[in-house]
Amino acid sequence: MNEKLEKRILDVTIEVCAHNEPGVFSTRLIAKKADTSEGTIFLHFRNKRNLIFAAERQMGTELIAASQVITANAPTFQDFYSGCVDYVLKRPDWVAFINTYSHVFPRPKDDYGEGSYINRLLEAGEDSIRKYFPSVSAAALLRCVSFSYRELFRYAQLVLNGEVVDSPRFRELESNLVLHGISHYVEK
Amino acid sequence: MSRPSIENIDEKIVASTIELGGAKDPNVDFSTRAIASVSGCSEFLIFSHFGSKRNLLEKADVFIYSAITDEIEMVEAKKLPLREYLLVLLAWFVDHPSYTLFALRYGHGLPHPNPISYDNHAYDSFRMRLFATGYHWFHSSPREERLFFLVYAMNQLVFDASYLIYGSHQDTLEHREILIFELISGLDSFQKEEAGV
Repeated sequence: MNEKLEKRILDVTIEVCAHNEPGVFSTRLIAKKADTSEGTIFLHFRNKRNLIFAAERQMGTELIAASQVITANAPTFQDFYSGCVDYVLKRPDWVAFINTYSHVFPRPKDDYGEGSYINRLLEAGEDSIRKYFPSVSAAALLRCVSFSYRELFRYAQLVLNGEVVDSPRFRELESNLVLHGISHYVEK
Repeated sequence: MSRPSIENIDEKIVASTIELGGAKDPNVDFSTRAIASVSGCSEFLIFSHFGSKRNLLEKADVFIYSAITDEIEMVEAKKLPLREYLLVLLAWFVDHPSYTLFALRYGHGLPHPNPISYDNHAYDSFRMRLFATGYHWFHSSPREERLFFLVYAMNQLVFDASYLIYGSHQDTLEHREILIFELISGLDSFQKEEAGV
């Protein structure tokens, strides 16, 4: 399969998953919107699970590339985080997709470990935030990346649902929660 | 043989929906046919009672976040320190894997990809109850901010519980305490770990 068609299928997968009713996932619809056949999709991806993972990998790679650009112009972690919020809020389909489908399946074992997709992704993410946590070990930094991105999508979903009005105040609260935890706001 | 009441059938269907939607080894698009099969009824009955799959998922959602709020209120009444309070709630989420995984995938009690379409008192009631439970932790913060902190904490607990349920984090007391430490101290906790705190 050529790269262009693969990207189109994965983009449409994210779009369809984001807009369909929860718990409904139609490869027929994806094939129609991507202007290909279901047979082509299954021939290349084998099953829905692999299709979801491939879409997630494509999205993750784009997000990390974007965050490396954001970090270059963000002197503090709060600035970096706010830049990432701006980025994902412009991509509501990504937010909906990640918040539903990335939790539907446990990750396949080959996504972990040295050289795996998750590790490559986390290592790239680690480069984005290393300057904000200079004294933290590589292993702890990987967990920081995972924690930050998970929370980023959660905040974006709250905003997109209209449950939180995106404002400088809520961004400040959000980045403080991520950085300092809930103890930052608990009365002593 | 008497026929089961409609209410019981609805409850059974909702329970089956949670069981399938919150399964540890999930089916990405669990079908109404599968729900009907587990419930011991027909798909027609599901649609005649709930109208659509979306409505059914929302009923299941309401059921779960009510259960979550019941638990929060019960733990709140024990007046535990914050760390213990969060550990007890984390344990509850781990002990209720189908609730936790369903809430994570389809729940409105937590951030959900789809706007809330039902207009009933259930969600407002959930918010009000959640707001009341966390009052003493954050009492000097404005109301909307208090709710924001609580939703943040509950969401992190659900995520953390899902890692333990899936086995991607080893489920030991020590590991649970680390997760709670991260929730309480945020990314700073990683720096403190480095410093041997």
